[in-house]
Amino acid sequence: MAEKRITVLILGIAGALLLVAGALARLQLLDGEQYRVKAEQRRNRTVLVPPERGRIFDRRGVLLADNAVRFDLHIIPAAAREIAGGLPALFSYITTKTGADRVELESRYQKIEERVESNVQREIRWLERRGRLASAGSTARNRQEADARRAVESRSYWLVRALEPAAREPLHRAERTGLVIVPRSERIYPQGNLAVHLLGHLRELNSDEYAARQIGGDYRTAWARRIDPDRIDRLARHAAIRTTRYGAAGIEKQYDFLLRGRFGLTIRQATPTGRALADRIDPEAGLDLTLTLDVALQQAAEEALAGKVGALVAIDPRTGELLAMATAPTYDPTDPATREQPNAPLMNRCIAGLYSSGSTMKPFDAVAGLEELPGFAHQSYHCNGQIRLGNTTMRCLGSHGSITLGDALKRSCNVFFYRTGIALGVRPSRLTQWFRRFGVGSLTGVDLPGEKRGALPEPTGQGAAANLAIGQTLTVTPLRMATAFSAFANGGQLVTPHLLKGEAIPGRPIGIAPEHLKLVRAGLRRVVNESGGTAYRAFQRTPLPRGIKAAGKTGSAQHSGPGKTHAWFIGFAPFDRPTICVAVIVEQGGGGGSVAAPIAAAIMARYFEDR
Amino acid sequence: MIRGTLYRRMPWSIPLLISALLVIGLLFVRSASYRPATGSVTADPYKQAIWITLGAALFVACLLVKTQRFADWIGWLYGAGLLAIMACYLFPAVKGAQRWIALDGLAKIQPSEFMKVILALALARFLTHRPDLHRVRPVAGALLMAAVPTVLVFRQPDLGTATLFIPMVMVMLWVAGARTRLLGGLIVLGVLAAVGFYFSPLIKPHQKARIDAFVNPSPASEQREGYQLAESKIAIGSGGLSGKGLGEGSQNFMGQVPFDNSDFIFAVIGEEWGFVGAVGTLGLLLALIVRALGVAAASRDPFGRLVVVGLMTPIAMQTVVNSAMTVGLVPITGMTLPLISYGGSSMIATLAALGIVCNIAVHRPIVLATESYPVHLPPTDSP
Repeated sequence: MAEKRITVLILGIAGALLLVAGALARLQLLDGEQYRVKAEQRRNRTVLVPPERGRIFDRRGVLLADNAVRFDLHIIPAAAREIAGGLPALFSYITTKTGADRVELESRYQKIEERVESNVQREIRWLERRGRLASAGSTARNRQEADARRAVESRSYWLVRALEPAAREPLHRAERTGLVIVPRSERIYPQGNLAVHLLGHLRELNSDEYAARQIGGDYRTAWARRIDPDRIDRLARHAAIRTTRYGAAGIEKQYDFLLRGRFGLTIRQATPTGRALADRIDPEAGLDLTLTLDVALQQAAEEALAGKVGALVAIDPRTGELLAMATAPTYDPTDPATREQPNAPLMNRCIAGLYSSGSTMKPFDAVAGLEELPGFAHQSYHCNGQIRLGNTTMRCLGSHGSITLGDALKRSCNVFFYRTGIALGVRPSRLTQWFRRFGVGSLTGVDLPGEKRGALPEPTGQGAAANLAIGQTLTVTPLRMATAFSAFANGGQLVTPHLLKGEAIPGRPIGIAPEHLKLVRAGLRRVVNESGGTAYRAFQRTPLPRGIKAAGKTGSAQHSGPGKTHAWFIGFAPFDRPTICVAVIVEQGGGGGSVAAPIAAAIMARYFEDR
Repeated sequence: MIRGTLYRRMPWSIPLLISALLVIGLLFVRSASYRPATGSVTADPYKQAIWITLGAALFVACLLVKTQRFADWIGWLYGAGLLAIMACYLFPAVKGAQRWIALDGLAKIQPSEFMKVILALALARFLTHRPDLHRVRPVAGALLMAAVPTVLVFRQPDLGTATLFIPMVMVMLWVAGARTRLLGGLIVLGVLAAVGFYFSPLIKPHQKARIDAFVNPSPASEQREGYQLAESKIAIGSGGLSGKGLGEGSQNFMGQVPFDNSDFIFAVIGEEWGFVGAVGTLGLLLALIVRALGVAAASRDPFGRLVVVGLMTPIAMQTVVNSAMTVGLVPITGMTLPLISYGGSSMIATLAALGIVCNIAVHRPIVLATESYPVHLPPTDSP
């Protein structure tokens, strides 16, 4: 009986092993290919290679934004703790080699430890979200936590930024465990804080911003033939691509898609003796951009505004190329304290500062009157210093007597334009129709993020129409005014202001009869060039080179806040073939002729100095 | 005994198969002990060579000693084995388990491995010449002898080793002549008890999770408990027909296969030697088991026969369960692949067990009977 039972036993064992052999056959022979692919994927390690970000130049090739390689000292906490003497010994070592402050080192390391802790928690939460977290207290959970901690602590964290070359060499030779020197490309702005509002800055994007820019989608098309789409998405979401600093403001943001370039990658395959290169895609450097900006003019503009609150826009009226865009006060991106100063230093007032235009609106009233009212060119109104509308009295700056268009512009007579505004009617107001043609109340379309639209209210009665005619109740940005004024300089075209140098964007004709345009321009010339013109003195004091005549209009805009009026001047030169149009506003500066016009005159003088 | 007799009766295929398996084992322990981080091989293969040497010495000792001695000493051995298992509780836990007696700086001894050999001898002693095996009492006695180490080892905890003792006693009872129906009933009871255990609070969370992951695998459990199996399957599957070559298995050298030189060494064999190597290795193990059980079948000595059956049951079971778990046929348990996996106690105990098998093959039947029991000497045995 025993022999029989032993035979049955043997058959049972053989049968069980036959089952295992069957399973082996299925895994290795039938599904072998599928598992082979999986194993191949596992042996590959992908490393992303960052691209060089595009540089930014001004119109003459002066470098505005560049990249520099910095060498940071990184620490790997897991390895650093292992060395003899522990962290104190390591810190002493770093202090002697780099001259870094011991206290700073320790506080930085404190931050690293906090970061490690939060990263561990994040890994755990990630597992939890995926439903992969084992129950608390179990061995599997302990293992998961230990694994997460080990992984997080094995990464490197910066300890000292931008090592001096002198310190780098001895550290490099020593090659201490747990310390690594990591090169990093840093964005630098060789002109310092010049045009800081325009150029913008870089920072890490949050996930919403990152998704909105479709940076990941970019890679889908670029890498489609080389790597499978799911993997690209994973790379784009998690890896270095995600944590790179992208343009967060100004040109850096506007043209980020051109500047950022595209990461490359290397795929290294594990072999028993190490890793070998299996595949690579070279990074694509970002495009270098040339701006229309003129560094010398920008410099002059920023200096002219220093200590004031205001903005200046200089534009080429023929093309819409922006030559200078200054806003004050400004700030130092490397010094957070400067951001906290009063008067909103972070705001780019050129595109986001909304002001009443004041009297600078009067040339546009003139265009509307000439186009809409028969005989307006010879129309005279009597100014006795005020007009009465019902119970309210609306005042003028002086008592101009009987006055026609040319003098009204030159002297900035309110009564003349009150009357014009009233004559152009309400519901519909032909005045607002013409303002709208010049773009008031809409965006200029400048290639900068954060432009504000401004408001153009429809007048509901004669009083409102009169107020609108002298540029109250509506709001505009300095850039809008510079663009609108350019139409007087370029023969009646509404141009699109822009900073990226490239093919000219054609202007849109506003539809002003040439003879009407001529009349308005003549008035604007008298503002600057005739004794008694509101900007005459300013341009006398800062004369333009011989033979160059300017034209323009002053404004002193009332506002709801305390202090003096906002001082405006917008003008262009040379009169016959204008190549520059400048808009200046000084908040609470007082009179446009005495405060804003001299700044514009200085900028124009500076501009023509070089030509 | 005359030397010539030993030479003549020795089942030479057994040491031959053992040698082949040991060579394969050493090759793969070496391959699986390569650490890519350091680019070097750990000390494990060299230690394994030492264990093999010690095991070989014990093999020879067990072969040469008089079979009678095993029966004489077994009471003491059984007691010592239980004490050694209990002594493990005095040592600090390693990865949450107290399975080892640590000889500082030298080695760790896992007494439960040796208990497999001791229990086979003890049960054989207990069950030989028992005409009352159809009754409940001797069956209960044998079960109790196995239950004591089972419970002790289970509490260490070492589920893998603990589950080996009960099959051993069942197989030995069956071969000794117990009724199939009785044993079948016991198995049904056992299965019910196991199901009860699963739902009882006694089960450890990681054990429950492993069983869940096996019965109902999900992407989540594949990451958590099933990742070992998933990696193991990728390793084996990617080996294909003929494998990637010794030392060339990427799953292996990248450290993707967990416990790759002990519990999952079969996955490494599958990856590097492919279907041919894996099936060939299982074939060698099967040949060894069949040859050893052949010794039992041919033996005229009831004690020897039971000893061989008892010793070979855990070896056979480990072979089946270990290879089956790496391909996903059974849940993952900590069982080594006999003669191949890295592990000192396991290696030495297995070689000792096979030494005893050969001992049974070459020695005369021994006298174990009470006076009233007739002794049948095989007629061929008298010169």
